[in-house]
Amino acid sequence: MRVLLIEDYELLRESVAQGLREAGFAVDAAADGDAGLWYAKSNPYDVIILDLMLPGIDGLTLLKRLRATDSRTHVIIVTARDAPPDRVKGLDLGADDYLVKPFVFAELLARVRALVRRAYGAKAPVINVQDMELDTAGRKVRRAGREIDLTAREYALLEFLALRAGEVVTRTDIWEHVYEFNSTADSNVVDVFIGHLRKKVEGPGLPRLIHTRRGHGYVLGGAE
Amino acid sequence: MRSLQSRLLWGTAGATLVVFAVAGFILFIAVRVVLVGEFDSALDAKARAVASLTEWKRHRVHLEWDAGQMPEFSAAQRPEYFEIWSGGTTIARAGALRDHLAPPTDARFEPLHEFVRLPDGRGGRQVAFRFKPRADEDDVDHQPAANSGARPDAILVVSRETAELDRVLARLRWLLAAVCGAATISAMGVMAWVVRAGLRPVGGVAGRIARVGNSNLSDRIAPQGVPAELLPVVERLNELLARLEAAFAREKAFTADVAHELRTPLAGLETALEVCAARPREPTAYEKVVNSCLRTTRGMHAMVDTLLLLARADASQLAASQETVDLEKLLRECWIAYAPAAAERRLTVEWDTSAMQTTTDRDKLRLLFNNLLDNAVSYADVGGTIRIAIAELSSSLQATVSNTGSRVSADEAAQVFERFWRGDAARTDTGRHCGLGLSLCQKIMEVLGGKIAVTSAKNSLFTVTLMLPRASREPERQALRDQPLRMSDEPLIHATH
Repeated sequence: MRVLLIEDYELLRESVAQGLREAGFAVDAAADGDAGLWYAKSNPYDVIILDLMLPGIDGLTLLKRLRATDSRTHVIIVTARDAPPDRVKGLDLGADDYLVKPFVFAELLARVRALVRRAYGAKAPVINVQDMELDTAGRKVRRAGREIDLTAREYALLEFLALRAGEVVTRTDIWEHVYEFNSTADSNVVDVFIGHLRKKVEGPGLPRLIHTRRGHGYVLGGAE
Repeated sequence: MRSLQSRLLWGTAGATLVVFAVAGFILFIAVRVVLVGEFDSALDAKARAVASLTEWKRHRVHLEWDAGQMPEFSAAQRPEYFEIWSGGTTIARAGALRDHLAPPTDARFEPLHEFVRLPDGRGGRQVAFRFKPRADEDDVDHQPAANSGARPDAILVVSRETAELDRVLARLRWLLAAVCGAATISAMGVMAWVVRAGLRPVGGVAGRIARVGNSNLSDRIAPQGVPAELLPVVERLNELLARLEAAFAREKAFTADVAHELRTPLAGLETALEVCAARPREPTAYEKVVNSCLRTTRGMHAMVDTLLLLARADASQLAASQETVDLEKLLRECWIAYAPAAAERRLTVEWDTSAMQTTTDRDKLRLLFNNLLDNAVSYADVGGTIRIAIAELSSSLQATVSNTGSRVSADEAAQVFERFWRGDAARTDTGRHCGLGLSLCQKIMEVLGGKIAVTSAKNSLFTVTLMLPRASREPERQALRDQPLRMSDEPLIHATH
C-alpha cells in the first residue's frame, strides 16, 4: 500500500517513513506543502499522512485543494494542534482521521491500516481467499494451515492482490500502489516479484492462487 | 451608598418643596400688599373725611364733629379711632378713645401708614399726616391773603383694627401651605414614576453587562437602546473587552505555538525511538537514531531555556548585573564558537570594531550576541558576507550585526521579534532555530535599558542594530529611552547579488 507522508519536521518525517516502510508500506515523503500537493496529485496514494503547520501551502489549504479534485484518497491529519475546533475544521474539510502529536507510532500504523481497509471496502482485518488466510494486523499469511514467511515487499504485494481478490489487477496498479516514487524498479520487477510470491504461496501439491490474465494483469483466487 | 433612584427622588422632592414654598411666599406677600393697600385706601378716605371737617375758625382749629355722621368712631363693638392735634394740644378725638394717643413727632404732609397697637390692646393700622385746616368762609375775620400764614397745621391720626385683615391673611397662609404640601407630595408621586421609568435603561444595561464575559469574551454590549449618557460607558467597556479578548487570543496563540513547538520534536523523538526499538538493528542504525535524538533533545533543551528566560523577563524577574564589559572583546569571544560554521559556509567576515567599554550585564549581553551571530551565520547566503561593527555615539554605543542573503522582506522586518515567527524558508530547519531568538534579544535589550531594531531587504542585507547605554547611570538610560533609534539608510555592506 502506498502512503504519502507530508511533514516538515525532519526527525519525525524520517522515522515515520522508516516505520511505515518496515511495516510493508511504500512511502513517499514531502517536507513542505508545495511538494506534498505535487506528490498527491501525481500519484494515486492509498493514504496521505498530513501535518497542518507546513512551510509553503499549509495543511488545511492543501487538503482543500486536494479534495477539489480527488475525493478517494484517505487523509489522516497528524498535528500538534489539539483544540477541538482544529479537529472539527480538519475533518470538515475532508480528512478521514485526526491524530495529535506526540502519538504512539503503533497507533498511527493501526489507523493507517484501518484507512487502507476502508479504501478497499474491507472491514475485517483478516482476508480469506480460498484456503489462504491473510491477517493484515499481524501481517501473517497462512495457507492450508501452514504459515508462509514473506518479505515486507512480498507481503505488501500479496495484500494488495488480496484486498482486490477476484478482480484483475494491472501491472500499473501494482506499480502505483506497492512501489515508492523514487524506487529504481521498473514494471518488469512486478513480474519478478509475482514469480517470487508464487513460489512461496503456491507450494508443491497446492492449487494455483495467482492467475495471470495475459495482456491485462493478475487475479488472486477465483476460477482458472 | 444610596441608590440612584432614591437620590433622584429625594433631590427632586426637596427642590419641588423649595420652589413651591418660595412661590407661595411671594404669592402671599403680593396678596398682602394688595390687601393692606386696600385697607390703607379705606383708612385714607376716612382720614380725608375727618380732615375736611376740621376748620380754622375764629383763630383756632376746630372740628365740626357730628357723632351720628360717623358712627364707627363711637364706642361701639369695634371702634375706630382718631385724634387731631394742633399746636401741641389735642383738638378733638374719637368718642371711643378713653386715653390720648401718642402724637406722632414727625408727621409730614404725605400720609404715613404703619401697624400699631390700638389703645384697647388689639392690633391695628393707622395713618398719620399733617394738614392745613380749611378756613371757614363764614368767619368774619376771614382775610385769606393776610392771615393764611397764621393758620396753624393740624396733625391727624386715624387708626382701625386689622383683625379682619389678619384673619384673611392667616387663612391665605394656611391655604398656601396646604397647597404647597399637597403639590409636593403629588409631585413626588409623579417623580417616583418618572425616575423609575427613566432609570429602567440603566437596569437594562447593568443586566447586559452582567451577562457578558463569564464564558465568552467575544460578546459585546449592544449599544442599541442604551441612553446617551451611558453610551460612553458602554463604548469604553466594549473597548476594554476587545483589548482583553485580543490579549487572551495572543496568550492562546502563544500557548498553541509552544505546544506545537514542543510536541513536534517530542513526537519525533518518540517515533524515532519506537521505530528503532521495534526490531534488532545494526549498531550504525542505532548510532544514527541516538545522534538524531540527541540533537533534537538539545534543541528542545535550548527552547525550554529560552521560554523560561522569556517568561521570567515577562514577569519582570530578570535583573541586570553591572560589570565593566568591553564590547569588542566580548563579540570576539562569542565569535569563536561560530567561526567554524562560517568557514564551512565560506562566509567573509568584516570587523569594524575597536575597544569600547560600558557597564552592563556581561552574561545577558553574551547570550544576545550569541543569538545574533548564530542567526547571521545560519541565514547568510553561502559565500556571503557578515559585518560586525561597533560605533560610539554621543550618548550611547551602537553595535550592528548584518549579513547578506536576507530571507526577510522589508515589510516583514517588524515581525522578526514576534515569538515563533520564522521566515518561511527557515521553518524547514530543524534544531536550533525555533523563532524565539530575536524575541529574547528584544527582552534582553529591555532589561539592559537599550534598544534593538532590524532592517532587512529580501535577498540583500539583514541588519540588527543595538543601542546600549554608555554607562548604567539613570540619566544616560533615560536619555536613550527618549531618543528615537535612527537607522541609517545607507547599507553598511553591499550585497553581492
